[in-house]
Amino acid sequence: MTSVTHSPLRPLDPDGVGLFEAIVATVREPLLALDSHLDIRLANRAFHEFFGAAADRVEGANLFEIGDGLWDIPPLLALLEQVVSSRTPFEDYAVEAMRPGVGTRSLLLNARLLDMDGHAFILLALEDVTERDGLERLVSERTAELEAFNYSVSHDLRAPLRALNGFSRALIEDCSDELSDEGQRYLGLIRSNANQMGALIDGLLAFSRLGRQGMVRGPVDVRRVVGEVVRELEPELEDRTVEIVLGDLPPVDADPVLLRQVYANLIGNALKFTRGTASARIEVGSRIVGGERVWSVGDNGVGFDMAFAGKLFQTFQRLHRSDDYEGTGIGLALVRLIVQRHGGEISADAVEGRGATFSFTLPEERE
Amino acid sequence: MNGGADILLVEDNPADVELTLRAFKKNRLSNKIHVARDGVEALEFLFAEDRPVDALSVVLLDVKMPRMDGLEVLQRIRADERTRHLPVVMMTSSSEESDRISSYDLGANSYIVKPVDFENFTEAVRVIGTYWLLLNKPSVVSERSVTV
Repeated sequence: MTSVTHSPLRPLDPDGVGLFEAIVATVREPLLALDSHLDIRLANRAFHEFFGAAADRVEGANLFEIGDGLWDIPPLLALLEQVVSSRTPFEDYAVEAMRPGVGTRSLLLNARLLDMDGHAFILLALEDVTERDGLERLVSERTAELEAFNYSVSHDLRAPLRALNGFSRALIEDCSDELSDEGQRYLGLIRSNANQMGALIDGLLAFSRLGRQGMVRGPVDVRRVVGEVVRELEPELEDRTVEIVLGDLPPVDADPVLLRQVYANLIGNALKFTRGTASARIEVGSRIVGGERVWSVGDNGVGFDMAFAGKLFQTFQRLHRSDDYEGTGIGLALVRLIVQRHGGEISADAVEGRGATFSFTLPEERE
Repeated sequence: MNGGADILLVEDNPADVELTLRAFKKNRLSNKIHVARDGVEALEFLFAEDRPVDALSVVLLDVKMPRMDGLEVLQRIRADERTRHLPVVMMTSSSEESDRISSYDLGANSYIVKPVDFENFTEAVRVIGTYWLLLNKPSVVSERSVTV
């Protein structure tokens, strides 16, 4: 490169301390100021720290000569020339650079033109994204592993359960003469436990799938959703008198499939835990609290001890013995995850022996 | 073809084979059931010289199998003139959405997730049997005129 005489960089504010130099020096990312010949006029401290001795005396040198031609990349040259000629800035131009003593790093370059005292300069910023790239790769690898694991769980674990269940049943049917009542009872236990494990696996998969699934929010007729959920649960209402009261249920902006799941779990729970209540009553509604709509499902069932409320929404945590109330310990964890994905919160309030109320919010999506 | 009454069960898990056969028996479905233990065996059966495929009314096809999986078998079935219209019911342990979508994309007639509970499983087999063996009218294509 031919050497040209350049005017020295001067502060933007002649009375000040050099706003420009101050900014360049303060920024944590390595930063260069080049003139229109792509000669380096200024390299900040971060640049010197990043390249160490290799960055000594870069000021005055041409960008494409420093660091053994590290920056001598024709497409980059073309981009930089465009910055000068047509004032077109560029962002996120990826290069690999050897950082002395550290190794190869992935850098993203941003550049734009800056006019100062009638001179045009290119500001060239470097961002080291090596770690971020590595993390992203790790996340996508782990996600793929998790999906393979889910697939395997859903397929490979269910098949043996079906065999356990089916052959226990076959034993009861074909060999009942040779089995004592106790023996038949044991087989019944094997079957119901295999079913329970099947339900656990299904619940767990639903939980993990929810974490990966996209959410589609739209207007939901909550009253209709609740009505449908109640109708689906009707088989459980046989031989029972349960008063189900629907309160204020205006339309809401939510994912219809997921919101239905919330009500199915909460109303299903309410039905389950009012099983022993003489005049069971379930209230589904909403009210405005502090300017925000709070949705709730309440019952007058067995409730629970608030001392254990912290465990309520955790996966596999149960507050009732399974011989009293069946369950997998996944339902409420799933409900909380759905509410959280809507940006809302869920809480429970209960009195042992008197009932429980679950309240949640579904904040409007902010654009 | 596929005007017959036989069933081809493609299933690698011996327990599932036995349970399926038992479920058919319990439902008094006495149709002949051919069993292939993986995808390769299934294709060997379907495209054998003596055309046993003509006697089939439906294929019950497991998705996840060693050597060749159910999706590939389905693809081969649909790609071949002789089996293009053969009803195929995917029967799987997995409720994976991607499998379900791929199955229908490849032309499966139905997709069933095998229940863990044997009573539900037996009921599923009863419904499948009643539907495909008794109610469904097979496609009438002049495949018999296709020279082999």
